[in-house]
Amino acid sequence: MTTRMTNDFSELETEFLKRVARIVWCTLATVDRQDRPRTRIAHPIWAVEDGVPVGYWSTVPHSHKRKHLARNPNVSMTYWDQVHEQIYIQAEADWLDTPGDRERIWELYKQTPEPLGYDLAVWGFWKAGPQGKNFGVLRFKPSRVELYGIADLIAQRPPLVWKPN
Amino acid sequence: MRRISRIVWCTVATIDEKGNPRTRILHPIWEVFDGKLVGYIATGRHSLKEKHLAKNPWVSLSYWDQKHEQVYVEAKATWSDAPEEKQRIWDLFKETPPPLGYDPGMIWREGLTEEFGVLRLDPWRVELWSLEALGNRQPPQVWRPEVAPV
Repeated sequence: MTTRMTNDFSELETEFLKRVARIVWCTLATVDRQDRPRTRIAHPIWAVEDGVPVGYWSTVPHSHKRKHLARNPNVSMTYWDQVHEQIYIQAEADWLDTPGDRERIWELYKQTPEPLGYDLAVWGFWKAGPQGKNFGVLRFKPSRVELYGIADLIAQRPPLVWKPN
Repeated sequence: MRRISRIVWCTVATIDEKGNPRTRILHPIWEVFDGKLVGYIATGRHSLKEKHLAKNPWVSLSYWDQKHEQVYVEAKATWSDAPEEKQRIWDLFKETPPPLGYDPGMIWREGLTEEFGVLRLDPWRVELWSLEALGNRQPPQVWRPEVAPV
């Protein structure tokens, strides 16, 4: 299928952030140790830094996905809901471990309006706060972001795709 | 089956030719044969995912909606190319009540041709999970077949 390509994220930014704020949850795929795909539901928050999108996800650091990402840091994410406005993201993931980053992302969740943002302390396993051992931050640096949806399908409009320069 | 009939669409992850994950939204239909779950996806042939699956047949599916009742399915995918099986799946989609069922003739206007592909999914793991279960600290429910696909 043909696509509409751009290297300028500002062409997608408003629609991207609107869809993320509404859908909130996405499916995140990683590659397991036997080279099989595995998926789970994730709740990242996105920022636009120096003109490019960056995702941050508060998660539990000691999990299967840590082992998967140690072998292959590439992930694929899909946002979808019954409105059929999708976002597809290909990204590389890394862990942010400094106390400053952990504090910054904890606050980012707290300061972002609901339902995208919320106080992570509602979870019992994070009651120790941003420096607790159960709290981890994954960062996503996309190599491809695609916006597509049923309206595009009906209008026979190709997906809008961003790639970094 | 209740969750799948409500959510209908799921994210399907495959491994691309570089060994990295790729995801898209698809619409499988499920049957239980002798206590074993089998899924079918009606899809065009010659797609990117066909290339991915030729190299790596494993898929991971997740169903999610705003009610937070998830279904995760890990499966091996194979193409069902027998004409009678393709006809059976065409009819299964057509005869299943919407929104899960639909008339494939709306998409494959020329009818059941080579372009209409049936991808069969044989799961090796199925997990039911929900936000409610997390709140109650209940572990996820997991099913595995007696004989897993290899």
